[in-house]
Amino acid sequence: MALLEVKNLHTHFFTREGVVRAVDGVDFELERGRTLGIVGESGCGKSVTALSIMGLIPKPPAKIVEGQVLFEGRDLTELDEGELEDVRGRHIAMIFQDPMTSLNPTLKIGTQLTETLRRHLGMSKDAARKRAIELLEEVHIPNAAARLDDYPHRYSGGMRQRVMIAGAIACNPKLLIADEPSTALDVTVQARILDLLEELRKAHDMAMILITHDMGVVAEAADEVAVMYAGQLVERAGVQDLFDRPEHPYTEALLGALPHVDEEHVRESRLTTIPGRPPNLVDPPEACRFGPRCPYASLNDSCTQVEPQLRELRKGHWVRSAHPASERAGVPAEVGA
Amino acid sequence: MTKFVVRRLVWTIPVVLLVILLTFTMMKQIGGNPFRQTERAVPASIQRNLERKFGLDKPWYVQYAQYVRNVFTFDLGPSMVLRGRSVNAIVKEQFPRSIQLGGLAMLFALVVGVPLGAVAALKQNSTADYSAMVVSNVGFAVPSFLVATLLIYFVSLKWGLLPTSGWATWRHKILPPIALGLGPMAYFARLARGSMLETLQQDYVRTARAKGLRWRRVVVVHVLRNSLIPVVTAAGPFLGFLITGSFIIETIFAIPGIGRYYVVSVQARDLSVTMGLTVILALIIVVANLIVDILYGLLDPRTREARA
Amino acid sequence: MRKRWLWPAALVASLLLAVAGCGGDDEDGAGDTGGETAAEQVITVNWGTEPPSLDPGLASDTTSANILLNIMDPLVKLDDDLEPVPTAAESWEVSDDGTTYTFTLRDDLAWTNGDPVTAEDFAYSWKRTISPELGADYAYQFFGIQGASDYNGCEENCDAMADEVGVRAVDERTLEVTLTSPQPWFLQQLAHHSFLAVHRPTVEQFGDTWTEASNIVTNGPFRLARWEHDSRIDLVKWEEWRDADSVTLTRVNGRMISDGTTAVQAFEAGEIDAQVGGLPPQEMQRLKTLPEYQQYPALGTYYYGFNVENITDPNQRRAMAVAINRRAIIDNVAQADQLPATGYTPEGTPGFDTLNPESEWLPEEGDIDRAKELMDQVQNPKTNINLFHNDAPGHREIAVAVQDMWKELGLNVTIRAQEWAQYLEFIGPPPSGDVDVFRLGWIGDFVDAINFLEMWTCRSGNNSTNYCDENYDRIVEEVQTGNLEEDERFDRYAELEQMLFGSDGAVPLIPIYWYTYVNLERENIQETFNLNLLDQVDLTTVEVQE
Repeated sequence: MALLEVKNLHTHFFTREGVVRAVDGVDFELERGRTLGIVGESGCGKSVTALSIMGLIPKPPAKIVEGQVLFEGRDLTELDEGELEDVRGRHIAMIFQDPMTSLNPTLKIGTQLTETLRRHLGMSKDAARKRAIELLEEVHIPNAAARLDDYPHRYSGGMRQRVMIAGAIACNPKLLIADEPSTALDVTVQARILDLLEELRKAHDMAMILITHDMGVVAEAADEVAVMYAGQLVERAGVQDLFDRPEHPYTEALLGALPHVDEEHVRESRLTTIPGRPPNLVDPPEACRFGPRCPYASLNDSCTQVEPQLRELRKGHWVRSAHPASERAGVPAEVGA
Repeated sequence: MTKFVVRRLVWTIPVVLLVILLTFTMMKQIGGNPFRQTERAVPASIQRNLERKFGLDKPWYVQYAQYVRNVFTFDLGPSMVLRGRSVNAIVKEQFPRSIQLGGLAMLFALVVGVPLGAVAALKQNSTADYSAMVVSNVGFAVPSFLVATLLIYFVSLKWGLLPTSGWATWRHKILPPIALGLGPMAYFARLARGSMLETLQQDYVRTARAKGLRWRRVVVVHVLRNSLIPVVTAAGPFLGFLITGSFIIETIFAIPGIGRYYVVSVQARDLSVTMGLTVILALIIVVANLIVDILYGLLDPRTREARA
Repeated sequence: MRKRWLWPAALVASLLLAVAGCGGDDEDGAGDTGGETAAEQVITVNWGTEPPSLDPGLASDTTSANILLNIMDPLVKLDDDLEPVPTAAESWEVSDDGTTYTFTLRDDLAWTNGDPVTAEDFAYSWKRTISPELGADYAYQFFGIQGASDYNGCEENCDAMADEVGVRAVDERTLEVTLTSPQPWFLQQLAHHSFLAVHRPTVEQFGDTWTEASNIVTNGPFRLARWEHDSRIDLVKWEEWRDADSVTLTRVNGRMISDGTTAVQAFEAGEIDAQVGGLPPQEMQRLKTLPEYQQYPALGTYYYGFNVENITDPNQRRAMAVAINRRAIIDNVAQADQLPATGYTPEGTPGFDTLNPESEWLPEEGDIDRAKELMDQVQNPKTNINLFHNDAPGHREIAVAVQDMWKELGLNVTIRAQEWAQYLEFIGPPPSGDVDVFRLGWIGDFVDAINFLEMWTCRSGNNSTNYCDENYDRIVEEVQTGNLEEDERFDRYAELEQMLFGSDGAVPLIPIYWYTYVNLERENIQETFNLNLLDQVDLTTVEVQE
């Protein structure tokens, strides 16, 4: 059985303006020790998916209206808050995007590490402190023992992210969810953080979900990729297969939008963008959500009437589209719809 | 930290001098005769005697110098109206009561207000939240003298539970602090609620939850502590206000503090008492603010280090 | 983790300490609720305000007066007919020319520390009050005594002048007083608290603080048991007083609740037995219906004074006086059954029947028609009137009523309220040029019409009207120095009132009503707890009934 199975997840936000269907159909599995990259543009629902897994969505106004999140066979959506608290940090850990604000500025770094250890592993103060030093060393923070008593404002952004990571792996979780872990950091630091994550993942045999909007990061770090658009999972495949043979028009557009540095005349060519905007998630239409921006949508009016379902096009490669690349017989793209 | 405190204390001296100057100037401006308290005119010879006795016949700069000297030698002179009593004696006897009243009112405001605001924030938009905010609004809008009179009417008169006035036993010390502290309580409740709501949105709270910490710990260690900072900052000036602004409550509850006599002394033109009390009250506000700043430093380590 | 609780805990702890520790708790002991049975003769009185001083030389308000007259033994007291009766003085003799009084003191007078009270005590005390150093407000009461005024105003060589003052102890029990002129009201005056004796050794030992409960030495029916400033003042019966057997009360607890509403609430909650004055005007309607409501005539006049230099035509002044409906004001605004004034000197003063002018200018219910007639006779009426009053409760409402009444005369009245000290500066004398009409009251110092009528002389410090008539002054001086018989005096008083309010009267002021004192008193003390015309209660006569 897979470590994590997300089945038909729908998470909606019930606001005064209407019901925002932030996650409206996400399915995937993740095996032990593997890395899943979730990509998509801002607002596509990737963070909400992660928070839904952790049960960290704000309970009013949000609600998981449908679906299951099976972790080691146990449906997390059925657990109460106390049970979820036992899972979080211990078996599933999460780190967030902005390290500058993700640590409590009024508590010492040491405290923020030991509190997890003492909570989940019942360690004594001294044992927790020792372990915290070890953790800091594991994430390559120099002079760990002294720095334990520092406050976050004495750490740089990159170092704080390392501390976050240290806190996340403290209890040896089986799954680490990293929500844009490097986005807020300098480019030079980014790579190091990603390397660190990979190092730790191997060392602790963790599964990882890496959420990002950066295709390059995904290419480097993921074993499998899930592409999300407008709250839905639109394509899922092994990383190689996705990059070599993308099926969904959106994925193609994403890859097409990547700057190709090795091409000629790269300085003169413009970056390709996807025209249009993602749909409003309050009351989205009963149709393919990418339709309005899809170059192939005009061919078949089912795109404007029926929501395509997720189907396994070939082994290990799932698509939610009426016009996956393999099924289009060489029809040229028409921009706009 | 010590350097910080010492520096602040040294700054108190120019503040005090300024207070003396301003008060002195204002009292001289409003004129009036401290020796004529009733409609009976004071015969000229007696007026002269009295002015000589209290040094009012000297030029203004001599009088001013005298006051400055008084303050710095801690001998504030005799009262011009309460004959036979010195300002020092008045302060020594009656001031502690005002401090008690202010302190209790502050205690009430914090002990009731902060949890009220916290509960409202934690249960945002629930019945608990709305009722807490209604209570808070009422407490804020209703003037303290009305609250005082209503409390006396119902609690003392109708239900006979507590005495109507005075400050003798612990029973006397319940209603007045409530009347005085109700407004600040409402303010603190709103402040605490707002502050907590904001803190609850912070990323580090999300991190704490993601670490699986028990909610109670998250609230107490991560949320409350950081939410208290704006409350503490507001509390300082309030403490000063509570001690100095207790005039109405002291009058209604017949509490023999200095708040009541402070206002009376201005009306009666009791210059020495007015001067002395103003300086003391100014000092209290300075000290209250200092205490707040110290607390702030303790609560927020970033400020602590910036000061060192 | 643990340390984090330290600071909030410390804060709470220190606040709690402030509660429990400093600012001493005092026991609100037994006897607070007043005597329910005749067996317990303890009452609680709310005097209203803190007495500024209990030094007889310095005390100037009614609370001090009331306390002093009950803890000290005056030379004379006033009986129910306001006649002076021997008290500390056993007897006295007046010389034929009326300027020398010789008092013989009782032989059983004593101070609470055992010392006998002697004539020297009185001489010392009076000179002390007259002395320039003490700065006594009421020194002027003594100016009828030879040499007093000079001594009080002396700048140098004062000790010599002190010896010239006309009061001396002939021997232990004989006190001789020499006046500047015959003053038939002198005995009346002696009932005032400023004429009380003080205990010299105590004064010299403690200086300014000799009146504190722990220091004070007294000689009257009650002792000062406790005085907590601004909070309470308690008297207990002095068992060794010469006439202790006649005193029924054993203890009189005193409170100082200045807020009228709270005081009434305290009374209704049973915490006090007597509320002396200070009833809030807005509750008068209700309070009057209570069985505890008690009313007493007072020796005082509430009046509106003119600035005769602004409103120069007497007919205008008469018109404005006639227009006022006193009855309406008393019934609807003042509401304490005051007496409509028909002259200046209030009823109850000796000789009232003779001196009262029953002025046609002071009709009880006002007479608008007559007023208009009078206004028509005025050549250049002043139609824009500034009416000043101090901002205490009740005055504004009366001013508004009067403003309405004067509107009918075509007068445009602007009401200006001022804070007390400011107000006193404004009305001087001399009054500020803006003042056309001002509100004031006068409570008598002693029970004789001269105390009321001598105010309106040209140079009186209490005359803010600018009214000055040499004839008036002449008659006053005649009374003050002329050694007249009683009926002659009363005739002069009548003349003076006529000059003010007769048919040719100048009407420099409009008396509106004569005051009353209103109290709340528990039914079991009502019979004996009474105020005299001077707002004084004699606690030796008070008894708690069954």
